[in-house]
Parts: sequence; C-alpha cells; structure tokens
Amino acid sequence: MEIPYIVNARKDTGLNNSKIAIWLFLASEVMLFGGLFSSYIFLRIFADYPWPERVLPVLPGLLNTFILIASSVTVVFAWASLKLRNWKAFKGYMSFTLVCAAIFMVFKGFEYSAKLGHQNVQTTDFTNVEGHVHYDDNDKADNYYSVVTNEILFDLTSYYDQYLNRITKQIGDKKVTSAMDVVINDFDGDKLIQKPLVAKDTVLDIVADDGEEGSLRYILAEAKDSYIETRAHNEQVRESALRQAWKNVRSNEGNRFTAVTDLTQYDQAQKDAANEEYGRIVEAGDFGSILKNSGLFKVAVDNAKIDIKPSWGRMSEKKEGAKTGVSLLDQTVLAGVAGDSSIVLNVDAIDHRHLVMKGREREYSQDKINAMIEDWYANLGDSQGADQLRQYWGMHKEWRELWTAKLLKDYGTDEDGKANRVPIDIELYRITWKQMVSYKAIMDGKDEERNTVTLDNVKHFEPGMIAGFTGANHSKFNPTDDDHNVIAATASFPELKVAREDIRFESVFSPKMNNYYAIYFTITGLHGLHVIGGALVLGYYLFFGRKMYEENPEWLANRVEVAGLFWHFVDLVWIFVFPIFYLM
Amino acid sequence: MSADHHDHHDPPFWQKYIFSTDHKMIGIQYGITALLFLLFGFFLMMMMRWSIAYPQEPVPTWMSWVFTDEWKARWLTAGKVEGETYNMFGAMHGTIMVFLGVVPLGFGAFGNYVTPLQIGAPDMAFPKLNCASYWLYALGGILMCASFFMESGAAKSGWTNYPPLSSFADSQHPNQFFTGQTQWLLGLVLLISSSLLGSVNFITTIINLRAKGMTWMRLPFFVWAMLVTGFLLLLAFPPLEVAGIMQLVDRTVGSSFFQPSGLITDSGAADYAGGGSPLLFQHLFWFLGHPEVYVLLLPSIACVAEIIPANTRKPLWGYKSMVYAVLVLGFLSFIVWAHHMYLTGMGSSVSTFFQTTTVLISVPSVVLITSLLISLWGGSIRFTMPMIWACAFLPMFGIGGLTGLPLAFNLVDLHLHDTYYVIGHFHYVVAPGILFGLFAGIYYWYPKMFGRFMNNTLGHLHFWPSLIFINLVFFPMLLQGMAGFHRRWYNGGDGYIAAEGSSDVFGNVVNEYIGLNQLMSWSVFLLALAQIPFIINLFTAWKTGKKVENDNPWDATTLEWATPTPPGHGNFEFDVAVYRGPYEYSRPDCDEDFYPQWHEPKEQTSSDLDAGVLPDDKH
Amino acid sequence: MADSPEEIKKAVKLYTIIGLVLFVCTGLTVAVATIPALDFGAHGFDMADAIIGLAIASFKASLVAFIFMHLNHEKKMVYWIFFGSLAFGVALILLFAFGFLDPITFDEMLPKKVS
Repeated sequence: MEIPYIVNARKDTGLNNSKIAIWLFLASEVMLFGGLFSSYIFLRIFADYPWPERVLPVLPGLLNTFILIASSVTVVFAWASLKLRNWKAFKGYMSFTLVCAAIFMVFKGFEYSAKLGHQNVQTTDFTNVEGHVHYDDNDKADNYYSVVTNEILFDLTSYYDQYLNRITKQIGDKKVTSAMDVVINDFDGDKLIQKPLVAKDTVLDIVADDGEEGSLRYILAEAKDSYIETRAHNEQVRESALRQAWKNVRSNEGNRFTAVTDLTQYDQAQKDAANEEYGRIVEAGDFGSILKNSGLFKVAVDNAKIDIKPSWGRMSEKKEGAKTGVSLLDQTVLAGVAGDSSIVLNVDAIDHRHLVMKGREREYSQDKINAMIEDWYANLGDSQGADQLRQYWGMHKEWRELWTAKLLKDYGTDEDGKANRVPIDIELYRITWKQMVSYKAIMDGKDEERNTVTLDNVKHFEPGMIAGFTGANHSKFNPTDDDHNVIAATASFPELKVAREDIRFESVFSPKMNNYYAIYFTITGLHGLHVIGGALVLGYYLFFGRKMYEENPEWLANRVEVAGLFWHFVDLVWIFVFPIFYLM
Repeated sequence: MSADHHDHHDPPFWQKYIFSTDHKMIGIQYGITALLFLLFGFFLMMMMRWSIAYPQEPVPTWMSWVFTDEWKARWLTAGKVEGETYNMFGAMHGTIMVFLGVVPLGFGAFGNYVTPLQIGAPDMAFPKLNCASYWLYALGGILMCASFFMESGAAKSGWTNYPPLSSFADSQHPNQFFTGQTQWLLGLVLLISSSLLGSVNFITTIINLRAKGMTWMRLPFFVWAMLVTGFLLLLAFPPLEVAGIMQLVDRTVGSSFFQPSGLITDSGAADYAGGGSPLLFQHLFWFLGHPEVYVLLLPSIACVAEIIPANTRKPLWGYKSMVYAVLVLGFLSFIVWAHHMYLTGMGSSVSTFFQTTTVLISVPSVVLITSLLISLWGGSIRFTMPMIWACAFLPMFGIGGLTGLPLAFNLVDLHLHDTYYVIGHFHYVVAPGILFGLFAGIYYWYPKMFGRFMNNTLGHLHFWPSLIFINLVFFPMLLQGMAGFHRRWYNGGDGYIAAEGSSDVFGNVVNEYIGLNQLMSWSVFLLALAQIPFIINLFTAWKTGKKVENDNPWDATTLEWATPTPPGHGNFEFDVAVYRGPYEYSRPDCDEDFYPQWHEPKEQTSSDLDAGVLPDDKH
Repeated sequence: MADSPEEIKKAVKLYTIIGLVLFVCTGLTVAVATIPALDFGAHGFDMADAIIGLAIASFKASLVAFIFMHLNHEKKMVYWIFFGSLAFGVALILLFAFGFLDPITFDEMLPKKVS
C-alpha cells in the first residue's frame, strides 16, 4: 500500500501532504505563541510592581537576531540549491544554518547563566538590591538559613533522604541522641509482637545507612514501616467497627418506611445512633484494639550548626540569636537558635522604584518618599561598602539634577510652564551598574580633569556594549586578589551585608524573581526548544539526506522546504521576541 | 477476506497490534483504552456517590476491595471517603472522562477507524504520526493515573486545576516532580502533543486523501464533523498548553504567573514574588475548555448523523445546513469561553459580550439537532440496536442543551453557578447525550470491525436500564441544584441539615432535597450493573456474534461499507471513485432503497469522467 | 512557486535583498529604542515606542512570511489554513485584552503605575 501525495502535489489542492501538515502545525504554533504573548500583555498591564523595562543587555539579543535572519536566508538558499540539484551548495548553506543555530544557543546560554548567577534581594521596605552573592566552600552561592540545632523532629512518613543526608553531613561528629523511647509493632499474621526499637538518650550513629542496626537511618526506616503497618491495622479495626455499628443500627430499627414521616430526620437519628454504637464497639475492642502509633521521631543534637537552602523550608525567627525553628518541606523540624543567615553580596544596582510605587499607592508625599529612601541609606550600617553606596547615592542625586535640567533645556516647556520631557523613574530611582562604574571612576579621580559629576563625565566612564555583554561585568570592574577575594579599594560594586530579617523576598534572576523574568524565560526557553528541534530536523537532512537525494532529489527538496518553513517561523517569532523583551 | 496482494509477509506481533501504523488498529487501540479509562472514571464516581449518599458509612466491600490496606489507611478514614480523597476522585473523574475517555473514544477511535474509510483513503496521511499520537495519549493517561500510588496522591484541584489552589496543592512535598499535581500537568502536556499530532493528521488526510470524485459536498457529515473537531483541537489546545507549561514553571521554579501579590497560607506569607493572576489561568483554560465541549460532542453527533439515514432509509434532512451549522459552531465555540467565568469579577461589558455569543451558539446546535430530528420524519425506521441508541441521543442531548440556556445568562448564572444544576446540565450533555451517541457508533461499526453483529438481547439489556437509570441520576441533580446544593460537597450536604423545627432556611431546603442523594447513588450503582451486558457483548460478539452476510450489512451508502470485512491493510480492493452524495436513500430512480456512493452509474460515459462531469450531476 | 532554474536563480537574488532589508530593519528598531534623538512620544518608553517597535517587527515578519515562506504565491488551501488560524490567533489576543480590559471597570482594576 502506498499513501498518495507524499512527494507530488494533489491536483485540486495543489499541495502534497507534508506541506499541508506543516502549515497546520504552524497554525497551531501561532496559537501557542499567541497564548504566550497574550499572557505577556496581561502580566505587564496588571503588574503591581515596576515592570523591568529595557533591562536586558541589548547586544546578545541583537546579534541573535542577525544570526537567525542570516540562517533564514541560508535555509532558502539551501532549498534553492536542491532545486538546482547542487548538492555541494546545499551542504554549504545547510551547514552554515546549523552553525548559526549553535551560536544562537551559545549566546542564549551566556545570557541565561548571567541571569541565574545574579541575585536580587528585596528589603522589607521594597528597595531592591542586585548583585553577586559570595560563594561558600562548595562553590555555591552563600544563601542559607542557618540554625544552631539542638532538636530535630522527623516525620516518619515523609522524611526525605536528600534533606536527611545534608543535615547529618553538617552535624558531623556532634552527638545525636534519641529524645524518645520508640516501640515498634511487628505484625506476624494476626499475632502482634511489640519490641523496643530505641530507648531515650541512646547515642545514634548518623553516618551508617539503614542496614546497620541502631543507626539513625535504621531507626527511621524501621519506625516508618511499623507506623505504616500500625496505621493500616488501626484503620482496619475502625472500619470493621463502623461497619458493624451500621449493621447493628439497621437491624435494630423497625420498618423505616411506615414508622417515619421525615426521612431526613430519621437518617440523622440513625447517624447519631451509629456513631454511638461505633464508639461502643471500638471501646469494647470487638475487632481488636487500636494501637498507639506516633508518626514522629525526635532526636536531641548537641548544638550543631546546620545550613538549609531557603527553598527547602521556612524559618520562624530569622534574627541571629533568637530561638527559632526551621520546618522543611518534608515536615522535618529543626529547633534551636538562629545563626547568621544574612546575605552578603557585591551590589551592582540599587532600585528604589518599588518603594516609590508603594509610597504613591499609599498617597505619600514626595518628601516622605524621599525621606524613606534616605532612611534606607542611613540604616545600612557602618561598613566600607555601605559608605561607598551612600556616596553613590549622593552622586546619583547630583546626576539626576543635571539630567533634569538638560531635558528642560533641550526640550523646553509647554504653555503651562511644565517641562516637555522629564526624567523617568528608572533614571531617578535606580543606580545602574554602569553608573556605579562611572561614579567610582569619578570618585577615585581616575582622570584629573574628570573628577566631578557632570553628565559628560558620567557618560565618559560608562562601559560600552561589549564590556557589558551579559550585564554587570564583575570580573572587569571588581578585580580580585589571588584568593579570589574582591579587593575592596578598587571595587566598583561594593560589598553589602543584608540581615535575613530585613529581607522581604530574595531570588536570583530566575522565573521566581518576578513575572517579567518568568515570561522571559518561558517564551525564550520555548523558542530555544524550537530552535533545537528545527536544527535537529535540518541536521538530519544534511547528514542523512544524501540517500534520499540520490533516489529522489525532489522529495528531499520538498522536505527541506517544509523544514525550512518551520525554521522561518522560528525566526518570525524571534522577530517579535527581540523588541518585546530587549527594547520595550 | 482481507488479502492485500502487495503485502505477502505478515508483520510481527508488536508491529501489528502494539506499535501498529494501520489506522484501523490504532482506532481499535484508542477505543479499548478509552473504554477502560471510562470504566475507571466511572468507578471513581461510584466512590464519590457513596460518600455523597452515605457520608457516615464505610465504603461497602464490593467497591473497596480493590484497594490495599495501606492505601485505605492513607486515604480513607474508618473506611469512609473524606474531603481530600473525594477531591482527588473528583478531579481525576473529570480529567479521565474528558481527556482520557470521551475525546479518545469519539475522535481517536471512531475518527481514526471511520474517517479514512469514508473518504476512500488507504490510510491516514501520516501513519507513523498516528501511532505516536496514540502512544503519547496512553503515556499521558498512565502518568496521570499512576500518581494515585504516590505519597501525594493524584491531583485534587478539580479537572480545571484553578490556581492558586492547584499551585499550592502538593507543594509540601520536597520532590515536586513526584506529586500528583505535577504529574497531572506533565500528562496534560503529553495529551496535548498527542492531540496536536492527531489533528494535523486528520485534517491533512481529509484535505488531501479524498478519493476521486469525493468533493467537499459529497463528504459524509461524519467527516465534516471530524474536520471541524480537528481544527478545534489544533487551535484551542495550544493556549491550554501554555497554561500547563506556565503552571509547571510556577510549581517547579517558583514563578508567580498565577499567584497574586500578598498570598497568605496557613504557614505564613507565601514565598512568591506575586504580581500574577489566577484569572489569566482561567482565560487560558477556558479558551480550550469551551471548544473542548464541541470536541466531545461533534464525534458523537457525527455517529448519530450516519446512523439515522441508514436506519430511516431516507437522506439526512438538511445536509448542507448541517455542514454550515457545524462550521459556524466551530467558529463560535472559540469566542464564548468567558461564560464559565461570570463570577470572577469580569467587567459587565465583557459579560454581556460573552453572554451574547453564548446565546448565539445555540443556533447552530439547534440546527444540528433539529435536522436530525426531522430526518426521522416519515422514514421507515428500523429499530436496530444502533438506531435505538441514536434515538435516545436526541432527547437526552436536547435536555442537556436546553438546561444550558439559563446558564448562558449571567444573572441567572449568579444563582446557579457551582450548584448541582451545572453538574446536571453538562452531564446530560456528556453522559446520556454524547456517550449514548458513541454507544450507537460502537453497535453500528462493530460488524465492520469484526465481521459480526453484537448481540441484540444483551444490547437491549444494556440500553433500557441505562436509559432509565441515567435519567434518575441526572434529573434530580437539576432539582437539587436549583435548591442551592453546591457541587463540591463531599458529604452531599450532610453538614447543613437543620434540626426539626429549626428556623435555618437553607438547612430546611437541604432537608427537603437531601433524600435524592440516595436515589441518585443507587441509580448509579444500578447503572454500573447495566454496563455488564455491554462488556460481555463487546468481548463475546467478537467470537460468537451473528456473522455478517456481506460487506454492507446495514445497506448503507457511505464508503466504509465498500471495504472487505474487516478491511485489510490499505482498505480498498478496487480503485475507489465516488459518484454521488453520501445519503442517497430511497431514490425513486433506483431499484434498491439505497444507492451507495461508489456504485458506478449505468449511463456513465468515459468522456464525462474525463471532463470531471459525473452522471449524477446531471440530475 | 518558482520551479524552473531561471526562476529560482531570480528568487535567490530576491532572498538576498530581503535578507539585507531585514538586517537594516533590525538596526533601525534598536536605533529607535536606544538613541535619544529618535525617541518618539514622551521621554523614555511609552505607547509611541511600542507602536513603532511592533510596526517594524510586523513589517519584518511579513517579509519573512511572504518571501521566505512563499506566501506571496501559495495555493489557496494554505491561505485558508494559515490566515484562518491567524485570525483566531489575533482574536485570541484581542479578546483576551478585551476580557481583562473591560471598558467599564478598567480603571478600578488597573494597579497604580510607575514607569
């Protein structure tokens, strides 16, 4: 059997099967991206936070646009070469297309990794501090809930091995003892054997795995088994009792249809009777007794400092030295004293717009809002980094005065005397990383003739597109010593310590940070998957198309055209993605 | 009979029955899988109905024996179904019935089996995609249902999965991947991919693989319905895919697409940036959700539209108006979705717009159902098994449709929203409506699939109890709903009962109508019993049913009856050409009361054929 | 679609030109968004910039669709499929916007803005 119109077009429609199919598929894709862009519009219009406008570095996006357009051109060239039966040219153009796809994904990778390595901390007054978090010994961003633990409560049904391993590793050789007597139930058929598993104050081995009797993991595993079995036993007893109770109630009553006029009340009375009967049967233990069964296991720890990733749970009191508890997602609770959980970061941007927005929502006066910002700087503490940030803010205020004046001068006022152009909030309330570099250079007197804040001087020292290819360039403007520590004197991005209790919300620049990044990652991620998918198909024709070309070159040409249509569509989506995310 | 002379070798077992690329085998695979899912969904519903009628009693052992003791201990309390478990069953019942049961049965099974046959094609345009489509569906379904055995249990936030409820569901589990809600979303993404492949395949097949002479207006109505269904799936599902992906990102990465600012949970402020909106999800969901209703409906109405002319022995009344109606219906179904959201605080002009379009869409629906009804007029009706089901479809779907009208008006909807009235309405559409139509289809095409008729006695034993009990299940719901019974009470309103002589007005209303719960539940159990003859019939008729005498046992006119029984690989054993419309019954100029599409007209000349003029065009 | 070698060679020339036009347009979008002298409307990003940016993008997109994807001379069926679906896509975006930007209650629903 042969399916018709695989290669050749059907006469009345003028199309072969795959041509129809790809257009249908593209129609579906239009709806997919239509849904995504609709969501973008929705999220942007209803954003109750300052939408991050024109924040992405433009250069990688621009280059990627050029690359995709170039690959779109070469893909039609490749198709045309096949139509002209020029295999060599096809190979050349197709290879170029695939190289473009690869470069596109590499740039995308640079962008993503820069975002994911960049931290945002929002303090309780809605000021956003952006920067690079210091790294811990494991080369991971140093961002933990720290608690000096003296007691851990495990939930037997849900404790999670990954968490447990991390906890025991950090306890190290500190002493861990059982804080309770545990007796387990062993059901051997109908016979119940109760045996003690561990006694209170027994020292537990926290390293050994669950094969070793007496170790923490062994106890947890055994107690868990026992808990689940006992729970099943108890439920069976209860179920049988309830069943019996209803049976008794039903058989005790007379004829329900003649005796009762109000069925609902009758039903209600029966329910009450059954519940009473149930209580009686359980009490009497007709179906066995209900066994005591605790799903928890508590251990005492000799004050071990344990660091937990914030995403693993919740900390009740965050101030250092306070009595606190960290409850993890697996219901494990660490109790103890809060340690130092602050985030230390090299600040490369400060943004007060959210604060300003909240202030305006509450109809605060501009003076009050300004005073709040000043307060924020005043409360930064005494560190060298804090001083530097205060200096930056002072210089930024100078700069924005000059900028306001320049706009007034250049664009004049309308008939009411209002300036035609005024600085936008982003200029007024955000110190960007480029400005920080400039302010630092001016501050340090890098150039004798440019040691005051003027528009020209600030512009002069601002790094260009290349230096800021993926955003704040820490390796260039925050030089480090041999031990990879930032040299404070030359750092453009000063160090700041933010105490945990002052943090309202923190995240790297991932989808979690806000919906701008969420939709950015979702749309560009899906687009990236399309690029990869398209490249795989095109690559298949490049590397395995030779045979098809020799058998039926027209067939291959059709297939490449169809795959090319998809590739153009991917380009077409990017043509919208680029301005929407990078330029608006 | 199914000798295909081009293929001498028999394909190996896995290629013939498992990863088959033959549209007929795939159709049967879809059918069996979908029926199994329907059975499972039905079982979940029986558990729920028990809890509604007897909230204080343990589930009887004839239902609860399927569970292990440990599962019961985790999810039942003293053998009773409690709220969380009820929600889990409810969410999965809806999901299974809609996504894994009815759509695959209608579109996947009948669409796959019948469409290529009716247009005279050797197979689907892309047989391998067809196979992939089935397996993605099976995988998605298994993924969703397997989560019953996870620590978190299966999804519990309703089949609509509204956030923020669904965003927080199962969020207490450290490994988000292995939770019911996440698995539900992953399963959904697979199902959408499956339906995307399926719909592309169907539309391409219908456009490009029609046999010679099969012009658009000679397509059987079934094929038109499949074409529109294909477009609905193609264009309506992607926005839901967007919603599914966004919810997955919300759950796994912690973004706030659907989380508004300032959410507080019982353990304090939620660790979300906020700034999103649950309304966005609802828009995306219902953009699919409403066309999905027609994805459910159209295959069923299509089956009925094939069965009625064949059993009344007269042409389908208003074939052309039905075709236009179904096209308009498909179009309108995209712009009515927000009538599911009247109570979300949308603006009044938006409500008015969607109220208007919603009322408008009843026009093409009524055109369809009226045409079918009038088709009965004056026919010499043969009450065969499929025809009985098809006849029952008409009034049942009618009740379902008419009870929907009040819901279209936003003021009335204020009262009826989220009550049992809504449940009654859409179950009337789907269960006695759509499913009856699909049962009709099973009885109708079974002889083509297996060469034997299904047993009539068992058929009647299936039909009459089903018809009676299904009405006893759903009609009381309409009454309860108007009295204000909320659709999500896991205990059927047990907690609202007022004491005798109480001044609690609502409690007194509940007193009055709560007794219906037991009536409905027992009807459900008896309805389940009524399906047993069908199951027996389905599997025994294959071996013991009455053999068909020829390839066209119903004396029908459409092309599927021109194939051998059962059709072999490649379907047709002659060069198919079509000479006339699909429903040429009882033509005065013919000796027989049917004139199949493929019968060559007697006075045909070769010059006519070359010119593309067919003799019947001259009539 | 071009099928004879001459036609294809001619088409290749066209593709090159269109590619160049797309490059120029891309540069233009960036220029309009970044160079202060080309900032239309109020200072900073506003509706005028959005309209200009999207207009250029739409122009580029139609070039890709009509020339590279051969929509300038396709079969009728493709137009039916694609523009039919495009209409649904546009309807989706517009109706969505309508759905949450109800003219009557819009002002109350909108959060207060800071740029």
